[in-house]
Amino acid sequence: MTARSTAGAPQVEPVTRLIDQPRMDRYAEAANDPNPIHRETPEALLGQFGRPIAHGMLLLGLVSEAMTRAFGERWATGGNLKVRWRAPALPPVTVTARASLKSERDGVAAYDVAVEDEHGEVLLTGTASAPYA
Amino acid sequence: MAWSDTRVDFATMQRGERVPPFVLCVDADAVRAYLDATGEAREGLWEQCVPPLALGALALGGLMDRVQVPGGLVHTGQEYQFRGLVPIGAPVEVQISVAARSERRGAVITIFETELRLDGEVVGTGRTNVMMAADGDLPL
Repeated sequence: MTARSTAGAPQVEPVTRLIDQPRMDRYAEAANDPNPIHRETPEALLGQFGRPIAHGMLLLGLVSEAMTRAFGERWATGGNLKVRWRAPALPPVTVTARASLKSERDGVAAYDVAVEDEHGEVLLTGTASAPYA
Repeated sequence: MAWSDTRVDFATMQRGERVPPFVLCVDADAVRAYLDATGEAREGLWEQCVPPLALGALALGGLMDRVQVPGGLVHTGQEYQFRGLVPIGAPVEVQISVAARSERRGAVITIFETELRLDGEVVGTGRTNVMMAADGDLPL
């Protein structure tokens, strides 16, 4: 599952997933997130977007999944993540988490990470790093 | 999980203030539910250990359970440092405090710091940035 670039740092493969209301409802339950803006509630329907928005942490989960696929246990024992959410994800939406190698030094690979929707709108940006050696 | 009646009022929290600590025990059913929700495969490492971001998400859930949060609060940024595997079912101590609180351009910005410990050893840390408009509207 782990692909390696010629430089030694793993190549992080994109992760694409449909984010729809049933998935958000399952996530709200699993992550113990009661925020009504993620469900079909008056707060969401009367809010700024007129509909529920996806959990930011659900989008971030795709980045973590991509890093897990590339680094395995090393992601859980030495991974670093720093992101900002740039725009809300309005379901149903297909999103893709990508990571591009930014640097590698002393056995640690750092990546620029982003999550985009199917129209190319950037929903999340940041950096992720983990030891590979 | 029900919201308790003894939650800390977010509006009155100050820099350095601590949220009452709590313990997370993430069992196999909870890991399965998290992975089913995110769509990540349940095979391999996550058959024995808790995904680190699941711990981070559940720690945030614990924070929301203990802090009375206004409806217009927006999660704007997040940092994590993952430093150790957490076996499924192991008790993880969660300590959360307010690292910073400021007001800028009509928005109140708060940074929570989280520390996760297993048997006294730090297995993860995090910083959570949230923003709230002074008038309660989403400041996006």
